[in-house]
Amino acid sequence: MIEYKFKEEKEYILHYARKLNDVKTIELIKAGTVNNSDEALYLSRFFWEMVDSSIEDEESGIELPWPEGAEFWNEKIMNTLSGYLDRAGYEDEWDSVVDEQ
Amino acid sequence: MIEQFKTINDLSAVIKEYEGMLSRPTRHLSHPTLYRTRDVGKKERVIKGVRVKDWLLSEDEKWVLPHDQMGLSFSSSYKNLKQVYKLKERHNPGKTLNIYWILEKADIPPGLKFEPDVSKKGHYFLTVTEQMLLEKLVLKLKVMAQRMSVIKGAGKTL
Repeated sequence: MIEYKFKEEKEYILHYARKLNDVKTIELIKAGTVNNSDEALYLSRFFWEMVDSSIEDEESGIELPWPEGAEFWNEKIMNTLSGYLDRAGYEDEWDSVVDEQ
Repeated sequence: MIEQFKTINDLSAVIKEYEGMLSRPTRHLSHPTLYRTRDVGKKERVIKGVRVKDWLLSEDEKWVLPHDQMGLSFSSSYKNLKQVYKLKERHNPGKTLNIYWILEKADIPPGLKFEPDVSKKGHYFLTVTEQMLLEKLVLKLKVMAQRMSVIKGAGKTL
């Protein structure tokens, strides 16, 4: 299961998954698990799409529902998702997407 | 002091050679262990350079309380540093980033300790081991910063 250090991390991911109309990510996050390599790659790529979307929001002056900035949450979520994918056996999938950036 | 690396292999090799090397990227001119207002979100709270959400504080926010999974983030592996660096680079396009580092076994001020993140390998927290006034933590973080080395403009090596 994906384990969050802050409850806001999950809210933040769902906030951006909804904003990006990403039904698959919403399902994965609500389930709290990925079941195969394709899902691991999908979630890893979503992370960086979320980062880009949050940066666009900041540049447009759109405020987040939380006091902390996007960089704070993106870093926390990066550790949470990559830590989970490591433990679930999908470290290579996460790393390959990092290398695409 | 190590100031610059030319290739990805240089930096990766040094991290492997220096067992217990802990690092964190920061924007050029930012402090290695404290935050300026411009380093954080507009509504994000920083007290005397300490980002409130990083630490476990007392209700009146005068004291920092011990917690082995809360504190300042550091990378202990090249892989973790690389992804943190890429994220910071994304948030700071066109800005120069530096990497500050210290050895885990070096003389870290008493009352501070590196603890591994139990849910993420390669990630560590610089934590407090005893309750202390926030001002005291700030002083310790300043002392620690003086003992850190810097890799300037490391982007091309990552």
